[in-house]
This record gives sequence, structure tokens and C-alpha cells, in this order.
Amino acid sequence: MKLSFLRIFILLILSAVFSAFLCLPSSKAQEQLIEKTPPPLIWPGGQLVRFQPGVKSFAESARAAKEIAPGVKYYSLVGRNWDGEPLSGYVAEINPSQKLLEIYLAVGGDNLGQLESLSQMAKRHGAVAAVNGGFFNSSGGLPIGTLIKDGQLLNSEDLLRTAVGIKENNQLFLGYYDPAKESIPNLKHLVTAGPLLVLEGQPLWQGVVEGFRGSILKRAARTAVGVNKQGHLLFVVVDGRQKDPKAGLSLEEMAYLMVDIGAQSAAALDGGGSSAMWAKDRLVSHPSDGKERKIANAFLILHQVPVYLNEKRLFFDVPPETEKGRVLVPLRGIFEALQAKVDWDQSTATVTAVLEDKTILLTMGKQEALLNEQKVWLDVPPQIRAGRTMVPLRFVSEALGAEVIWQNNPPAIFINK
Amino acid sequence: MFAWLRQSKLKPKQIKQPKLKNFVLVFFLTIAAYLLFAFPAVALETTTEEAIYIDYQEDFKVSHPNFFDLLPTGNLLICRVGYQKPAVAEVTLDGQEVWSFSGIQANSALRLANGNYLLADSGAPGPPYIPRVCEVSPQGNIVWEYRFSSLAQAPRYAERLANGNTLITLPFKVIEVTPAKKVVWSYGWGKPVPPGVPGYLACPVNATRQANGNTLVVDHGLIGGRVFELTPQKQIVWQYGAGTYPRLEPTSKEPASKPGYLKQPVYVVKLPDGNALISDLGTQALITVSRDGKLINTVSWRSSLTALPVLNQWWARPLTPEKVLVAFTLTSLRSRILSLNLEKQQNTA
Repeated sequence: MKLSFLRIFILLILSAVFSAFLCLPSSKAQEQLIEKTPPPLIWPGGQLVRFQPGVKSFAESARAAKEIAPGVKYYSLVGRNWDGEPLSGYVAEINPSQKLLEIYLAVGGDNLGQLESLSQMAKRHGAVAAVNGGFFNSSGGLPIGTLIKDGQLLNSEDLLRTAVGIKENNQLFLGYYDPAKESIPNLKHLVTAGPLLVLEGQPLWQGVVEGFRGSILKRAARTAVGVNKQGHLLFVVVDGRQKDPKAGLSLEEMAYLMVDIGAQSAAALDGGGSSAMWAKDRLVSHPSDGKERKIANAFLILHQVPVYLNEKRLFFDVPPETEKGRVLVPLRGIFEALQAKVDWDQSTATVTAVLEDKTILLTMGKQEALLNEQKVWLDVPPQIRAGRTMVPLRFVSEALGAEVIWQNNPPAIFINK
Repeated sequence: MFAWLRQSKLKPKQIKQPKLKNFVLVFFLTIAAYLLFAFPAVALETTTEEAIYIDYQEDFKVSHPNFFDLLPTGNLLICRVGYQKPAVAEVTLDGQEVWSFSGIQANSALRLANGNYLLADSGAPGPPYIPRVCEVSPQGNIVWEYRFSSLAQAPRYAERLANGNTLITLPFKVIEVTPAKKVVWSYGWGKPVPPGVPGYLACPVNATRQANGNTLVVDHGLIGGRVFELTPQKQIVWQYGAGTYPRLEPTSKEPASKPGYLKQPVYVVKLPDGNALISDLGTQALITVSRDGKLINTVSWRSSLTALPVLNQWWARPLTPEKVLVAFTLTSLRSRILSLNLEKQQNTA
């Protein structure tokens, strides 16, 4: 646009007329005026910035927590998100120093690239509680980012996102990690997740700079893990995108929720349809897909004596239990692990296990057993617990030719065959 | 053109009789206002309004333009953040990278008068892990740096002031730091406090110092934002937006701009006449507000982008009351920075 002399002349004339007409006070007068009458400050009210308590406040929910296993408390949350939509959440609070308590990373079907529901993973590991883990490629099932399990690097991809790790003694690691450049002492498990939600008890706003975009930034079901002032781990899931109408939480809302329940630091895990929590032997959350999604990995909370067969960890759908100094394990699990053939006779409540030239016969509730037709006296009889037939681990292992070693500190059982 | 200016008049009983000096002042202000529209706010000296047409495209799929600045040269200074290859880069509009500083997830970047770049590094995952504000020379050397101890203090925006100090916007605080790294002014608590507490900040995204010494703060908010002007004595002398936003109707997923409210303001510029021009990403609107806090005009860019498969919009910078530069990522994961002329979509509130 060019300014001709004619246009400039017209501009000057118009400006003069306009200025006289407008009668604006001096800028100083305006400033004085505004200082005398500041605009009203209309605030939304504290309850909108933090979460509305709904039926119960979060603090009341936490007080109503029930211990579902030694060192594991569980409670549910009811509230509203910042748009007033109903919110339902689930919290498992873990005391990491509790004896026999372990936070474990399970991989779908025990194979990288395989998918499995959280319920299935929790059941076959005998977990007390569980939540979904890190992001994964839904077509190939491979984790997105790095995955370390039992100290072994199973997948490596340098993504500038927050990783969630578990160190020895169930200590939580949250932060960026590139295994090619550094190592974290005593690290047992790790998945790339993110974003970081809370640090020093303050909510963060880091999702965008960690490269999250699209629907991930919108309200959805969420899973997060954090740690509170007592050092307890907080595993949290909120429902989302359901018809009734639970829209879930944004990442910012999730950060504030974690702060509200006491997290000093926290990070998000995979969310949306993957978000799920298992507790009290069932799926307590409501998957936003309408049914449980198969996922690539999950964090399990275990409370059991670890059992190793030839240095490989054995898991049972009912965790090993101790009675009179004897460890009982599910019959089918231990016999199958030892590669024995098992036969169950319902009419006599008798189990027969055969391995090579050895035959064991156990009867429910009876302390007398038969090993190659010779009577053997058991300290603890076979019994049914949680719908599973439990048998004395040492007896059946040694009877089938395996060596059993009990380790006191930390407690563990090693079977060598 | 002057209709919106006239609306900014104060109430008659509050107006003093005009004096000669007022007449002269308004005379020149009027000329300035005319020139502003003849030559848009950005690249005032060299560019005509018609020339400000920008359609910059990035092929990066692993990062996105979280922030940009339009330099007087016409180049763009872009903060690319993401899960790989984050950087601050100066690019020509045809995609030539003329300068870059790699490896940081910056929330803002500005070119300084001395030719250096001032970066607000979030310190988000990735080396060097440290949130900081740093001044970087064109050769890539850090010539000044102010570090923060925690990601909880990740800077969101930084600008260099005329006195040589640096004004830094933090998650819950705004601070002014001398070159010797001494904090000489601050506003806010540095942590969440309930609304209504003096110094309350919900989620500030930038603070800019005005010629009169006041500070304009854009608070993105949690459930609605606000923009306000602070005196050096920390008195709020002007504000628009309530810090909340009316709840959406259950059937509506697209918030429309509502007078008196801001959904997610991301930037504000003061016009020469004292009005404020706000870009609200939440309602995708440019909002002009008078000095006494009255809504003058709202222009939406929502319809300008409906033909594009936009995944996310990241940043919007007003150029004029009817022109905006918007950074967004498409569903193809490629990003664009596009100027939108909004005159035809004008929707005066």
C-alpha cells in the first residue's frame, strides 16, 4: 500500500477532526482512572481449581482405604473433573519396604511383541494388584521406547520422554533414561512412558515438550504412578470416555489429582483404552473401550516368596503360601514346571504325578502321601485354597528328584533340577 | 475502521475537558493507528500487509512447533519440541535453516537486538536435563545462562528488557533477573495457591514488559485464562478474562468465544491506542479489548482451518486485529505455520 501526497493530506485533516471529536482524556488521566477503579477480580472459587469432592473428598477416600495385602492399600476415588464431569478413580498405595512385597514388570505372554490383558497377566502371576504399563505399538505389540525387565534390556529406543523404573527395594525411578549412555544402579524394571506429571509436589505441564499430541492431550482414561512423602508408591487409574459421561482427565488434571492425593513426584503411564487396574482379584476400573484391551506390559504388585526353577522365576496363579514353615504352591503349576504328568481324581480327591520312574500320590487334607507306593509323612497336607490345590513345594520337588534351597534374606526358594 | 476505537471511550462523566496537549497527542495517535493498519504490526518497516503471507511447512514428524517468532527479516524462529530431535531453528519461509541450536526442548525463543538468541529451555527429558534461560550467540555459544534447580521451575517464556535484565515466566511465578543473576522483581508464589490469593497464577505462559514499566501477563489458566497488566508495585491495573470459562453445553465440543472470558489465551500485544489484542487458542479467536476491559472485537480463525486435517494447534500470534499466525500439526504429523487473514470471518461479539 503506497501513501500518496493526497492520501497523506486527507489523513492529516481527518485525524485533526477526529481528535477534536473524540475528546479523549490524557493518558495520565486514564491511568489514574483505572487505578481508582480496578476491574473486579472474578475468581472461579478454589473448588474448581482443585478437584471437587463429589460424594467423598479424596482425603476421606484415602482414610477409607482397605489393606488388600500386607503393605498394599486400595481405595477408590469419586469426584469431578474441571468441567464438572463425573470422575471415578482407583488407587493402590504400596509400602515398598513391606516384607515379600515386590513391584514387578510383566510382559504380555512373557514374550516381547505379544499382547495380553492386564487381568490375565495379574492372574497368572498371582498379583495382589496391577496396572497397565508403558506405550506400545498396537499392531506389532512391541513397546514404544525402552523396556528393561529383571535388569535385562529387552527393547531400546531413545525417546525424549519420561521413563518409569523400579529399582531394588521397590524404589521408584522417574526420568529420562538412555541405556546406551548411562546405567542406573540397581535398576530392575523400566518402561518409557510419560509425561512427567509431578515434581517436588507441584503439578507440571510437560506433555507437549515430551512430544505428546493428538488425542493423548485430551481427556481420557489415565494411569499414573507416583510416590508420596512417606515413600509409598501410588498407582492410580481413572476411568475415561465412557457414555455416562465419564470423560476422564487431561494430563494437567491428572497432575493435579496426583498432587491432591499426596504425590511428591509422578508420571503418566499409557492411558486411554489401555488404562486398567486390577485389585482384589478383579478388574476394578472400567476400560474405556468397553472391554479390556490386550496390552504389552504391566506393573504388578506381588506379595509372595519368589520361587526360581533353574534360576528362572516361577509364577503361580495363586501365590506361594507359608504354613508351619512349609511353602505351599499350586499343584498344577509346580508339576508342570517340573515337567511331571499330572492326573486328578475328583472322586477320591487324589492327585497322581508321574515323572520318569517316580510316581507321587497325594490326597487332599491327608498328611500321608505315597512316593513309588511307599508311605511318606508330610508336615502340611495338600489343601485347596482360593480354588487351587496347594501342595508342599519341598516335598514334591525333592520327590521328583530336584534340589530345593531356601534363602533367608531376602526370602526366596531355588529349585535345581 | 474507527468504530472500535470509539467504543474505547470512557464514560462521559469521567472525562475531563480536553486540553491542547491532549488534542496533539490524539492527533498523532490517530496517525499512528492509521499507519498501524497500513503497515501491519510485524515487519512494520519493510513489509506491507499483502506481503505477510506465510505458509511454512515442516517435514519433521518427531517434533512440533511449540512456539515461533516472526523476525524482522521475515524468517521464523521456531521451537521444535518432541520425542526426538528437538531444537530451536531459524528458518526462511522456503524451509532453509539458517541457524539452529539442537538438543533442547525450548518453550520460547526470541532474537535479541545484539543478534543473539534468548531461549527458555524447559529442560524436559533429554540432555542436559536442566531447565534454564540462556542467551546463545549466532555461533552457538552460550554467553549467558540462568539455571533452575528443578523441572518444577521449567521456564515458559523469557524476554530481554531494555535495562538489560531478563523477564522470565515460570510455572507459577514471573521473575526479573539481572545479568549478574540477581532476582530484582517477582510476582507469584512459585507454587499453586488458591484463586483469589494476591499473586495467584494458574498457568502463566508469558509475561512481557511494557514501555510504561508495567508487565503484561498471559495466564493460560486451567479452566479458562486471563490476561492482566501489573504495575511494578504488583497492582493489577487491567485485566480481561475471569480465570475460568463457562461450562460447555453437553452437545458442544467446540467452545465459542464468550464476552468477558478467555478459554486458553496464549499471547497478547498492546496496540498503540492502548487496546489489547489477544490470541485465544481455546476458542481460536483474536480478541480486541479496550483499556477499560471492554470487548471490542472478536474474530475467529476456526473456519479458516476446517478444510485442513489439524491434529493440534500449538501457538497463535496476532499480527493485526484481523490477521494471525498459527502453528499447528496435521494428522500426517507434519506441521505448518500459516498466516490467516480473518476479515471475511469477522464475528463481532
